[in-house]
Amino acid sequence: MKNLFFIFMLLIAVPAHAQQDTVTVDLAEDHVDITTGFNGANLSLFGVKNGGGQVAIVVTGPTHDMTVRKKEKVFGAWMNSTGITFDDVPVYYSYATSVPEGELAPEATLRNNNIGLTSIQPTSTSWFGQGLRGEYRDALVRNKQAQGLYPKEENLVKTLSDNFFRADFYLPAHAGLGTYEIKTIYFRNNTVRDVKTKKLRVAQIGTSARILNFSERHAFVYALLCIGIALFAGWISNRIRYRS
Amino acid sequence: MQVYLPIAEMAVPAETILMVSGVAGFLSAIFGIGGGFLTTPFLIFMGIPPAVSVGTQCPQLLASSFAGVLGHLQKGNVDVKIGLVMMVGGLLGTVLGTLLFKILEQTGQIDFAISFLYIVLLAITGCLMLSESVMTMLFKKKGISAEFNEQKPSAFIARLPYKMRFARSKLYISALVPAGIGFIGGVMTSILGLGGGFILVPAMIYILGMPSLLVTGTSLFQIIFTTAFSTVLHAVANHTVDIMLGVILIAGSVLGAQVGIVFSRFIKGVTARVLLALIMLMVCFFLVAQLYVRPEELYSTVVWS
Repeated sequence: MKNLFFIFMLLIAVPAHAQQDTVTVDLAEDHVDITTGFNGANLSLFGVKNGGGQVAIVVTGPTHDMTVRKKEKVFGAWMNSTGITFDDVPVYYSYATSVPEGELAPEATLRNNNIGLTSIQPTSTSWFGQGLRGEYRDALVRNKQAQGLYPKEENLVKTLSDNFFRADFYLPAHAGLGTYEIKTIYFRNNTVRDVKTKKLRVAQIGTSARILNFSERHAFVYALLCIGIALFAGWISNRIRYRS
Repeated sequence: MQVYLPIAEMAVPAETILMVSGVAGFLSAIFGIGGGFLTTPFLIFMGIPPAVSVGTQCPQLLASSFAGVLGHLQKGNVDVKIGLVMMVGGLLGTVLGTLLFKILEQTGQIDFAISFLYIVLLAITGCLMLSESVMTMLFKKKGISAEFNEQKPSAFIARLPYKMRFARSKLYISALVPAGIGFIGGVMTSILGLGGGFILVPAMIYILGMPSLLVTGTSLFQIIFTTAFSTVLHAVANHTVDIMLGVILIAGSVLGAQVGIVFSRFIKGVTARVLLALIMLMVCFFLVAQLYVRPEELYSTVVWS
């Protein structure tokens, strides 16, 4: 029902005389609320393109520095060795295209628009392992894929009718908090004709958020609270024991 | 049932965690230990960051040691004076441990350090306990009596300064020794997320020469201070105490302990020590396997916030 409503809104939003080669999009929800029972969320994006081109949708999470380390054998045990730190790597990345990646646009165009895993080329200021960057970057992507935070397989945009489309993404529970950017790129004849960007806010709400905020703002009181709970539970436990 | 942990920023299956802490609580009721050596490696194994696993273990350990110490205080089996001296060392150890944890985390060696230290501690204690209890079983050797420990302190310990009289334990010994033992306990609490009872108890019997009747209660007495202080340090300095996870852990261990009490009537003395030693060696073996088997993915990624 909600989805129908969105399609309807989009229809109104795109007047018949609208200029060629544009794309209009909206998210089913512009925020993901993490509550105590949160176990991942589905993101849906609906859009209308005006013209016969193709679309690509790129979801990029907030960026953080990340260190990739390789395990090496030390006296038979597997131990981390020196790592390479990459700057501003998105914690979450996913994308969907209306035709397979190769048919969409030339490789360079895709890269420039952050489409596809090959576009993830974080910089590094680590002095260590200048020549190993490529190997460690690939490992970073593999690690992220294993955690379900980077895509493993092709995700095609669903065409609902000639010009309507829909793309679905899955955001796992450990995806990370912050503002996500959802960029829709419209292509025709291998060139970018229109780009629309939407923001998605991923944040804890309710009890979960209150705990997080409190633990950061009043860390000492929070610690005392934890101690209080522990002592109370210990006392209860002792009472039950003493009676029996 | 998946529960979202606000500090760890991930969802975990609550039943699994409840079960593990339940087993830990069960063991704690039977053997008089905290069970940290079981819970902490398991939480890390489940994918909870080591910092959050260790930080959150502290209030859990506090709850189970507080339950235990109340019982021992009621029976008068606590040497409060020696416990307080141990506590001073313990608090210093906690600070050093938290600092070391931070350094190990920054350099990417924390997982290895935790596994390695657990392996060493569990292997040594497990083997010693197993051989000691098997010997007792075979030769019906007379153990250390409950009221008086005839163990003579070594010449080195006897020469240390700052001697103090501990009337309850019938000891006249340098304060540095109990403080040093407490110090090691504090370091272990804040790096490994365990109370350290299984190291403190033998150290107090064989190094300090305390009567075994007082040892358990006194070690629990000092553990409540180190775990409480460690909770504060981890929560304030690192923000790694997850109250949601903590409540699940505490609930599990309280429930497990109630079941354990029923069973503790049937498992006693030497049998209990053999069982505990075997469990320790099993956990140790599991950790060794994890460390020595070639991992499928050689690379790992850490996200800095």
